[in-house]
Amino acid sequence: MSAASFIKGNKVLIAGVVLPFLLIIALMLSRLATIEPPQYKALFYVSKPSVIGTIKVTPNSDGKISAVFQPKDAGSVIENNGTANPSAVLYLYDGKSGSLESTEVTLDQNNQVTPLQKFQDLEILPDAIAPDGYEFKRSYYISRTSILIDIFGGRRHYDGPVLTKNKYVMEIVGVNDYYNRTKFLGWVNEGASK
Amino acid sequence: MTETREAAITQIKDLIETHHLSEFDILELCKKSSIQDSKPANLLQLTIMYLGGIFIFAGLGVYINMIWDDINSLSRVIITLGSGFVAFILSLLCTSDARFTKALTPFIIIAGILQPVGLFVFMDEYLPHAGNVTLPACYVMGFMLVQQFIAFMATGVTGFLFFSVFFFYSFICMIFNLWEIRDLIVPVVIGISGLMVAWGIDQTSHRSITPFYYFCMSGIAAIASFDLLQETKFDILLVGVSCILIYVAMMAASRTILTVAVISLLGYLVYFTDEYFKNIVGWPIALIILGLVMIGVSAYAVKIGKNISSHV
Repeated sequence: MSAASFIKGNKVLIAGVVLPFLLIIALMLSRLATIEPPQYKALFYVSKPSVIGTIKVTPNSDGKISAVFQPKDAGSVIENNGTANPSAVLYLYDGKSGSLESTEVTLDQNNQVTPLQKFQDLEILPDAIAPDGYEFKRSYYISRTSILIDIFGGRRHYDGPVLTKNKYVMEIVGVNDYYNRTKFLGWVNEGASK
Repeated sequence: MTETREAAITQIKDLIETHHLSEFDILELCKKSSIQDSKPANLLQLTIMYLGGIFIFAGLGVYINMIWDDINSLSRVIITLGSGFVAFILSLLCTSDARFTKALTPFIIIAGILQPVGLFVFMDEYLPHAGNVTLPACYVMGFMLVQQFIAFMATGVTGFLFFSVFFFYSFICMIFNLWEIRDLIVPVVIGISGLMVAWGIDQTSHRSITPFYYFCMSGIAAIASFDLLQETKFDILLVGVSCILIYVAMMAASRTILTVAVISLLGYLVYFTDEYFKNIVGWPIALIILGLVMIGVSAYAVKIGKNISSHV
């Protein structure tokens, strides 16, 4: 039996070979058809531990954000990994382009919080879920997986922040958060930025 | 006597032409005859020879591991990729000479292992590290798939088909990884696809490789179905998965699939008992019932196995 006739005479075999490719096409098309990119940018921050206190960023009633220094109480425990000077890094994630902007605030020589710089004019919606249905999760992990995917596909170790909608998960790569201190501030509308 | 012999040869020639038999089909037949004729002493000698070969190969491997840090990049590539490629060439040469038929399979196995390892070593030594191993793995599996499939198309040797199937599914797994497709349905489809491919191969003269793939792919289908359906409201369908596997085992006359199907059914029953009956008063009774069900299932499996034996 020649190789050509071997292929022609085995329809089940050919169907078995084609099946994984059909699955790939179907899954890719389903993702493209159902998922729209986020219309709102996600604003969040990560505070770094300090021996004297922390910088907290909070949304104001007018939709703007402000950063304040909160000294540590006299009786509170000093963290092992705390630095001398507190700081906080603000992140603005654009789900459309996948870009991640950041700026850092810390204490100056007079123990005053430095200006927020490029994020100080942003107006945010402090809702947990954006009007377009996306939700910010600060530490995401795949709760249901397959042992086969772990063996043949390699176990995923990503546990950073994500944007989720239904079952779709968009990882926000590049956030430096070793201490799981990410805090969500709100959603930024593209047109609201001055 | 001479006329009878010539008539027999003419008859064989007609049969070969009628059924499009290749020289490998004839060799396979001769090999089976020689195995049936061989004495236990020859079998022992053959076993010891294979063991000796494995020891030599293991010794070389350990020695290379010991000197690995002391040799340069080119030497590392030549030792791995070079040896694998030479084994591949030798396997092709063996197909053209009936005297070296017994050496064919070992050469194919050595080439099938050393070549992908060598390609990874080559990329590790000479190409910049991007931190993502999935893309280079795709290239390696894709290259090996093409090489082994072309070798199979050219020679029709079953060993090349075995590695073609192996590298095909390795390549598919890498594609899924590369595109971040991690849906739970993926391993289920891989298992079904593998069973279909093994079924297709089972209908040909290359059926000797199918038990391995029947075992692996039915196992993957069973485990993946469990991962997909466990702790959902559709978990009762797991029993259906086992029933389908038993049906496939009957259709394919494969005791390998039957074994996996029975083991999966017992596993699913343990899951159901643990999920729904563990915390009730009748837990010891549930255990006894489970034991009786297991005995019943095993008896049924033996019955099906006998049916398969009678059909083969």
